[in-house]
This record gives sequence, structure tokens and C-alpha cells, in this order.
Amino acid sequence: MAHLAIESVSLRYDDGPQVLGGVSLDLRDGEFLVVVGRSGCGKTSLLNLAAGFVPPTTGRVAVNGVAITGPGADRAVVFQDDALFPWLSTAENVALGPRLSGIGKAERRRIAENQLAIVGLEGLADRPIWRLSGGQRQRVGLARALAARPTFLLMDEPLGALDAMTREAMQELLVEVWAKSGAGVLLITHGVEEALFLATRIVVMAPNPGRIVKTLNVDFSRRRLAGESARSIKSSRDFVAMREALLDAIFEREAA
Amino acid sequence: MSLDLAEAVLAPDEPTDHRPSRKRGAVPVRLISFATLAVLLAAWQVSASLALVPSLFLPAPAAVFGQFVAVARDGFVDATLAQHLAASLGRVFAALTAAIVVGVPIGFAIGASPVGRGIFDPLIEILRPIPPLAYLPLVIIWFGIGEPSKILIIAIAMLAPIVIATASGVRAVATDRLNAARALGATRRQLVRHVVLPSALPSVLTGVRIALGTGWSTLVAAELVAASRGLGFMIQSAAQFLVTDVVVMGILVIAAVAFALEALIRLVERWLVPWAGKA
Ligand SMILES: Nc1ncnc2c1ncn2[C@@H]1O[C@H](COP(=O)(O)OP(=O)(O)OP(=O)(O)O)[C@@H](O)[C@H]1O
Ligand SMILES: [Mg+2]
Repeated sequence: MAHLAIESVSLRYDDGPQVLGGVSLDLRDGEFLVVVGRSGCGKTSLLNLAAGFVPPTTGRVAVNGVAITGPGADRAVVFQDDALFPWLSTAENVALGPRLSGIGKAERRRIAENQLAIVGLEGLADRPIWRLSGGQRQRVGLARALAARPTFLLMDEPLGALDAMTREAMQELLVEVWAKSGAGVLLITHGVEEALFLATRIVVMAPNPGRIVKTLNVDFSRRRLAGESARSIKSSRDFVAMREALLDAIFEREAA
Repeated sequence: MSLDLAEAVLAPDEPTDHRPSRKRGAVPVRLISFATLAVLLAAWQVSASLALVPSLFLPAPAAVFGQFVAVARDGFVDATLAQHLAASLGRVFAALTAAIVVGVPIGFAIGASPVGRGIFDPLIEILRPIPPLAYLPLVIIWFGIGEPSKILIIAIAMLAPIVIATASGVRAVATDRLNAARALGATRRQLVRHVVLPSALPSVLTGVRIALGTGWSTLVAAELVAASRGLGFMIQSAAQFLVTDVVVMGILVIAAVAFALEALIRLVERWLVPWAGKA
């Protein structure tokens, strides 16, 4: 059982103010952890720590008990503004991870086509990515992360730039992909409904310094996997009640 | 609104790939440019027909064109126009190759490491503003009057634009893209190969374009150095014999070649970095 642990971490960029103060958070494979909180409270910073892009000022980040020293292929990242490589085709973008680890051309092609089919982009393998729509690019970003067969999948507002309809379709896709891959997912979002629909656990962060103020266990994504429709889940009474509880948690601190 | 929605439902995925067609009432810039040149040519012809200026100072268009044909066929100062052109292009491209081979790694060092920047930045800043005619005598003293000197003079002029463009391209690599590759397991070498180099390529090509322009305009100065062929040499010789129509013809050929080089490098850009500015 894989285990990503953020252990009493604090973070300060150069000699700026404290961005994160004493944050501890566990992520295990098979879990779908969603982080919510107001803009600037340190969500991206937390993800960057988990990915290994920035080192913690104090505390440590460990995978299976071993402190990480930087990014690694076990922790794939989906970026808010996709961060794809325009000099590579769609398929080459998706298969970059396998390419970097020395996998041959034919096998890479197979992996890419497979992943593209999973995210609903079959037939676009040879498109230049600058000829894709925003929603398609976001899905290529997801396919690229999945093709690396990561143990943990870290996503920073991956659906932020999408219109409402594409976003709902993508939410369903994320639930499916998560269930199929068995990865431990950490996802940042501003959408309260999105958080509830996707997560098995939600953590609410508050700013100055960034810290976790509430943790909620939810199971709506499991209900979706059991076959209940998204509409029925989102309009159910316990979903609405949870939504209010979550909104309270986010805004409580602001009022105080 | 309802229409947008219908479109979204019918075609949720496909971004329509229609390039903006020429808008109604848009200013036809090319047409205006063409007209400007036509007016200039007409004015030249009129002044020649009316003999407003002695032909020693401004030969008629027909005379210049006649020289173009004559020099192309029979040559001038022991070489045909094509041979002069080939000599000049050969020098410019040899210089460009040298400038790229030296300049891209230096630009890379400046852009990627503080040490590289500390070493090379001042050198380039000192070199950059010096006009080629100023270092020409020194180059002759050091390297003689042979072909290498001419190429060196052009190459020095080309170096700064390539170094500066490469460095700025390397510096502008998106942090997110670097991080994305690192999270896919890229080593340092792989980062350079798969992210930094391709990211910097459009900028390097811009540097090459600017360098070609600079190099081509340094050509005449370089061919002052005891050349026996080349467009610059041809103009020099013609000027000494007061063959003004060959001088004017040479100038026009140099301008036309500069224009063609610019078009060529834009083609290369479209072929190598079609994505530049799009993603
Ligand atoms: N590279 C950096 N250097 C200095 N300060 C930074 C840097 N990145 C973020 N910060 C600061 O850290 C704080 C938290 O930023 P972070 O990006 O983690 O917030 P966030 O919760 O992701 O916000 P948003 O929801 O708007 O994306 C902010 O005050 C921000 O100004
Ligand atoms: Mg953020």
C-alpha cells in the first residue's frame, strides 16, 4: 500500500511571509483527496511540495516512509494551464513519460492511443496540440499523467478553464479514471459541488498561514461508480446538506 | 445564448479551424506597398526621360536593367553576376554557420547558468555596439587579407544577435513545462533535450533572422578587403570606374537578396516551429 505523507510542513518562499504553517496530510492509493480553500491560501504550494517542485522549509514529505528529494515519475502532475509541449504531437505528448524511461516507439504509440481512448480523444493522436480546444488539451494533460502509470496523481484545478458542460463530463471521467487506475489522487478545486462529487475525503484550507481547518469524509463518487446518475447524486438530500456544511467550513473562518 | 448551446451540443469537441478571412474594409497593406514601389519607379523613369539628373549620378532604369542582363551574361570585373552572388552568399552562410556554432552554446550558457552569464554577458555587450568597419583593420592585421578574414568580419557582426536571442529563449522556458517533464521522470540532460532546446528554438531562429540581416549589410565592408569576387566587391569596383548603372544594379540585387533571405528564413520558421506563438 503506497503512502504519501506530508509531515508538519511549513513553507516560506525566500524571505516572504509564511505560506504554509504546520500542515500534515496523508494520501494513500485508492483515495480521492480534494483540497478546497480560498484563493491564495496555499493550495498550489501544498501540491508543489507533494510533487517535489519546492522543498519544505521545515517538516518533510515522504513516500512510503522515505523523504523525497525532488519530483519523480511516481507522482504525476496535471497542471492548471495544461503545460503541454507544443513541439510534440498529441500522441507524443501523452507518451513522453514512457519515452523518457526508454520505452520503444511502437510500444509508446500503443500506450498513447490507449490513454487517448480512455480520455475520449481517439483519432486525435497525430494532431498538433495547438490545434486542440481547451477541453481537449486538458484531457491530453490527464492522459499524459496517466501514461506514466503514477502511484499518485496530483491535479491543480484541472477543470478550472472549462465551461459548465464539459466540466461535468470531465468530472465523470475523473471518477472513472481514478477507479480504474487505483492511484491516490490529490485534486485542488474551487468548486464545492465538484469537491463533493469527486472526493472520498475533502480538506478545507484557510490562509495566513495556510493550514487545514477541516476534514470531511464523503462517498458520492462511490455512489456514482455503483451506477447512480450524477444528476440524482447532486440533487440528493445528503449531497445538499454536505454542500452547506462544506460552504460553512470555507466561510466560517473568513467571518471570524 | 440558445444558439451557442446548440452549437456546443452538436460539436462539443471540434475547435473550428477557420482562419480569419480578410475582413471587409480591411486595409490592403500589400497593395499600398506595391503602389509605393510603382510610384517610386515611375518617378525614377520620368526623371531619367526628362534628363533631370545627369546619368552619371542617376542612370535610367532601362540602363540599370541592361547592365543586369549584361553582367549576368558577360560578367563584370572578371566574374558573372551569378559568380559574384555565389561568392557573397557563400561568405554570408559560412559566417552564419560559424556564428551559430559559437553563438548558440554561448547564449545557452548565458541563459542557463549565472556563471555563464557572468563570463559572457560583458564580452557580448562590449562586442555588440562596435561597427564592423572599426574592427576590420585589426582583423586584417591578425588574420591577413584572405577569405577567413572576410568571413570572420561577417561572423562577428552576426554573433551578438544569435547569442542574445538564444539566451532570452532559454531564460523564457516555462517553469510549468520544466516541472511537467521533471514529474515525468526527466533527468537534467533530458530536460535540456526535450524541454529547453525546443522551447528556445523559435527565439534562436529569430536571432538567426536578425543575424542574416546584419551579416548581409556587413558584406560590403567585408568585401572591401582585397576581394576578387562578391556583390560588395562588384559595387566597389564599379564605383571606382564610375560605372553608376552597375552600382545601382548591385544595390538593387543586394536588396532583393536580403528580401529573399528574409522570406527563406520565415519559411524555415514555419517548417521548424509551426507552433511558435500559438501555445
Ligand atoms: N513562487 C512564489 N514566490 C513567492 N510567493 C509565492 C510563490 N508562489 C505562491 N506564493 C504566495 O504564496 C501564497 C499561496 O499561494 P498559492 O499559489 O499556493 O495559493 P492557492 O491557494 O493555490 O491560490 P489560488 O486558488 O489562487 O490558485 C500566496 O500568498 C502567494 O502570493
Ligand atoms: Mg493555485
